[in-house]
Amino acid sequence: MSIAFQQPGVWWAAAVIGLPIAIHLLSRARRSPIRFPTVRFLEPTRLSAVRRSRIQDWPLLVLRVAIFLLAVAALAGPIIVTPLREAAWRARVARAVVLEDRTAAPDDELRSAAAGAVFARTRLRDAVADAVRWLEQQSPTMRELVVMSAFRRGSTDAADFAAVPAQIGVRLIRTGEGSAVRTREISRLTWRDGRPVRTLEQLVLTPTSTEVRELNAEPLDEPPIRIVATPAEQPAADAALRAVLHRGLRLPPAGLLDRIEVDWPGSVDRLAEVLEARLAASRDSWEPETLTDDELAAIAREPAPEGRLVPVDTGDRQMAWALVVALLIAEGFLRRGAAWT
Amino acid sequence: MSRPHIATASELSTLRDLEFVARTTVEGLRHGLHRSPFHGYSAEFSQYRHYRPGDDLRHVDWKLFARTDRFYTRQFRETTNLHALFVVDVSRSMDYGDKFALARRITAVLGTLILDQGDGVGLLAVGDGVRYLPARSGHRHLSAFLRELAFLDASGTAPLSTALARTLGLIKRRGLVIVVSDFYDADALGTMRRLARAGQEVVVIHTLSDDELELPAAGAAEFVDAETGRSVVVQAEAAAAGYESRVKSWLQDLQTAVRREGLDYLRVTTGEDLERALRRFVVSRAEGTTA
Repeated sequence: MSIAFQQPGVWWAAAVIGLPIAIHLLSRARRSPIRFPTVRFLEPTRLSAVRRSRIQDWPLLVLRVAIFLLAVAALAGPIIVTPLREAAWRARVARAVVLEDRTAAPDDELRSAAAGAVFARTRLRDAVADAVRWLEQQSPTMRELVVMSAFRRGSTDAADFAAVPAQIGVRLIRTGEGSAVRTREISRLTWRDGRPVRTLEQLVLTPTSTEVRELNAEPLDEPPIRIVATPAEQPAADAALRAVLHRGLRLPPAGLLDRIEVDWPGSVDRLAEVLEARLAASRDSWEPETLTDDELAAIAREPAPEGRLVPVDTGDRQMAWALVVALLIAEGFLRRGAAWT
Repeated sequence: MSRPHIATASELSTLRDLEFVARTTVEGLRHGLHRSPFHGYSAEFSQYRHYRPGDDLRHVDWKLFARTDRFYTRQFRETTNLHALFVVDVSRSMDYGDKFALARRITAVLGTLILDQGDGVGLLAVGDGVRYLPARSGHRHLSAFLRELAFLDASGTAPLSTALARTLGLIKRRGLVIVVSDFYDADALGTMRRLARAGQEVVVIHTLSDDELELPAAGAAEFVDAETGRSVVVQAEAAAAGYESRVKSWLQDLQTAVRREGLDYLRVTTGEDLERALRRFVVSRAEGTTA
């Protein structure tokens, strides 16, 4: 069993204040007796104040020192560390819960698991950042970030969790429909300045608007689409492809789909329909609506225990103050008794 | 061992213009300033008495016979030299502030004066051991006297009365005993009385520190008796009035008792002008003798 203090600096403050007092008292105590030729003409003065020049009442002194030390200890916030308490403190987890959708109430089990501080912002990644900041301010114990979300693609991704310190655990619970506010990045093939260009666009989706920002434009030597046509129809097919690309065509991200081959359907509109149909068939594989379980599993991790243990006050400070009051009462009785002796 | 400073040469000779005379008759071996118990036909005229057959006709005062038609014989007082023994209290109570230094200075100054006038001085101090310097005269004796005085220190456990009792056995002739002490030993007065009754002239020189008249401390203080080790804790301000009253009463009682025995008494405190106090005392003794 040991004692820890929440504000150990109080001891230094007490020492700084107590030192001059102690010096004063000790210098009084050190006042040496006066060797005098005779004391036959002196009558002892019966005053308790006089006896203070020499320490005669040790129990009273011990009691007063105990009162002073206890009062300083109470100010410093004492915490008695027992093995049982230590085990409880080690099992303690500071938990921050990020809710994507407040209306999507988790079931009881999830509520119980997610008991902790709740963070909810319009953008999930902002709420995650808030939660991480809060967790970093918590006393060193195990910390866990619980995110309850539909994890719709665009609302969050692995990059949002990359900045979370390694010792903070991450638990991802899929729930609800997800936020209407999200950001998507899409790849588009278009025709500019007489050549095909692959662009990367960011779509910021809100319930009332959609904002498109072009992030990147990569000119290509030839389009990753080949129209199979007879030599006679080939010029018409190429012209139709350029026409379709002028309108723009959503593509899987670079590397996921290298090349598309379609037969020449005979007209520009037909070609556009055929190409849309081909890309839509595989879109779920390269552009899923929500983060996959594998992606979530890659982000999730267990909280790591802290090396340092910070105890939690469980009323020891109040107990110390109560003891100070009790000793003060005892001191009063003892002092009154000493005054009459 | 370095000897403590007792007095400077000028301090020692400060009373050179005075004479320290015995009030009573003393027994000396040589001619001197002091009255001898023996009458004879020496230098100093004493009185007339009626002629008796057998008186030396050289001492018949013929002028008086011419005026009165009666025979008177001139009688002369024999004068002799004085032997003074200083009994210095070396008990621990004397070791307070400058009190013992004062006692030593008084002894040194009076001893020098007595030696200067051709008389003898001796020294006796009884502490844990006995230091005794028999009384002798002559300037060569002065250095021995001062050296003996310098070796004294107030650390003895024996009371003053022990030293005075020894004096009774040491002195064979009637002379002067000068006791220098703080007189806290209550038995000392009785022993001095015995000395006086044995024919010694006893001079009491009472040395005190100023602190003994007025409590030196302020606030709460613990006083420890230098001789008994007894400790008394007092609030100085509260205890001062009672202390000073008791000290005053004791001093008065002591002085009265000493004077009642016919002994000379001089009280000197450390804060006083020593030369002035000693001068007044020596002059008053001289006047008392001539009166």
